[in-house]
Amino acid sequence: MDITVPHVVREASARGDLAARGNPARQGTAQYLTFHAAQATYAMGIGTIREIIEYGSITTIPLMPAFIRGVINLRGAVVPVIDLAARLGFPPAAPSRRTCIVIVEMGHEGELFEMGLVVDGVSEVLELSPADLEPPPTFGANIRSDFIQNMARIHGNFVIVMRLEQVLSIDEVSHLARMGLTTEARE
Amino acid sequence: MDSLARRTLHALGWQDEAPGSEDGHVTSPAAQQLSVLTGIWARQIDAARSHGSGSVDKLTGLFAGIERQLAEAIEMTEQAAKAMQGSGDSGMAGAVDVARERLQHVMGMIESAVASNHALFEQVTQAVQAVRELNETAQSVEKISQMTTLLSINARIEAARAGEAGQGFAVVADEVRRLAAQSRQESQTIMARVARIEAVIQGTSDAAEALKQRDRELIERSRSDMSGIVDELGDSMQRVMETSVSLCDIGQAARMSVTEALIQFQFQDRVSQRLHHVQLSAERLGEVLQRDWPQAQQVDALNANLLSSYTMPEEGRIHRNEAEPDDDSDGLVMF
Repeated sequence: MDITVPHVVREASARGDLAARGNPARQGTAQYLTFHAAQATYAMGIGTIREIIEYGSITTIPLMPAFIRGVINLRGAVVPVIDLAARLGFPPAAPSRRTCIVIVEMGHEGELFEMGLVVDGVSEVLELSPADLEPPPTFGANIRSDFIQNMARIHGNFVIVMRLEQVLSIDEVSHLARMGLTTEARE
Repeated sequence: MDSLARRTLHALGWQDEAPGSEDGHVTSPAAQQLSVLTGIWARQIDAARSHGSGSVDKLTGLFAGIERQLAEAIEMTEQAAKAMQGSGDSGMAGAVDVARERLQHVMGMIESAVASNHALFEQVTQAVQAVRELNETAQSVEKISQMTTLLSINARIEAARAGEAGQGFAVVADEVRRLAAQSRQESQTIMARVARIEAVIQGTSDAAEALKQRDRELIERSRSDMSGIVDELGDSMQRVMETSVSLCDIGQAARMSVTEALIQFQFQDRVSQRLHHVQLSAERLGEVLQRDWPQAQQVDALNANLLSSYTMPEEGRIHRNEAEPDDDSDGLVMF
């Protein structure tokens, strides 16, 4: 088995030199993160993603909807955390070794707010061209159709691309933002 | 004819006859017949004497036999008891001690065998521990690969943010992610294999633990069974010894009783002697009567002769019709 690091890095650099796949100048391509939630694979555009962190140290907040897991302290900032599975109408995620939190940036009234999404694990970042994307189906999906942005063909399978601004709706964002601000103000 | 002869005749219902001529040697028929009668007395007394003697001799012989047999039985019982009580390894008690000692030895060997098994079990336990540590290592490798995956994806996102400048770095980040995925897969393979080994060793360990428990119970039971048997044996022997001792005592008592009985049988000698004295006297009277009615001095001679023939003072006292003295020690002379 050839897994020596120098070789792989050399190989990776060689591929980078080709600059064929990862060229943002290519017309219409965009990069997506694939991840697992509620025993299925989903994708989302990486444009809104700040970073991905390990799951842990969530402070639960009382009197909140079930899909709001609580808040985390991200480098001093209070960030609310949403359970994606619960938000989609499935049972809440059971934390495991691969569970992690995707930190996203949501814009509202000219301001940016950070939010966390609990997922069962992240897979990879890949580039999709418009040819890989299909419009959302009118029926047959087991989640709300307004949560679906596209159907992406990845490795021969159809994967739902999340419409994140819908999943994390403005009302909820502002509500959570208020909660985040008040908590921040108190600190 | 003197008064004694006349009294005798009267007692026998004979008619008083006119005394015959004293100088003539013609024997009176009545005297002749009385002589015959005294002969009959003497024979009857002799027969009774010899009959008594014979019977008592036989009885004495039988009792002497009993005494001998008793003596033999006591001797044998005493020897048996001595053998049982004997000190050291010779006696039965010693044999029980030896048996106990040997059982102890056997138990010791079993225990040391079990102890060496336990050492084996200890090694199995250590193997279980080593496998667990291996599993922990594999888990931490998986954890590292998980963190590397996150890092590579974060790097990929940062590269995308950097635009064209981040292109090469994005490729490297992808490769790092692939490597992380590969190492994660390998660590999962290791964990699966370790889990198999762990299951096998755990099974062995469980079996060993069960064996250990069974060994403990077995040893405990063997020990109590064996010591119980030896104790029972000892108790039985103790009871046998006690019984033989009391058997000896009873035998001794019986032997003494028989000896006493043998002494008591010596009465026959005295009875026989007395009868013999009376018999001789009757015979002498018969001899006198053969000739004629005895004269007074002849009767006195007979009387004196009988008195002189006695060997025991008691006979003389009875002869003289005297009362028995308080101190009868003279009547109990041992032969």
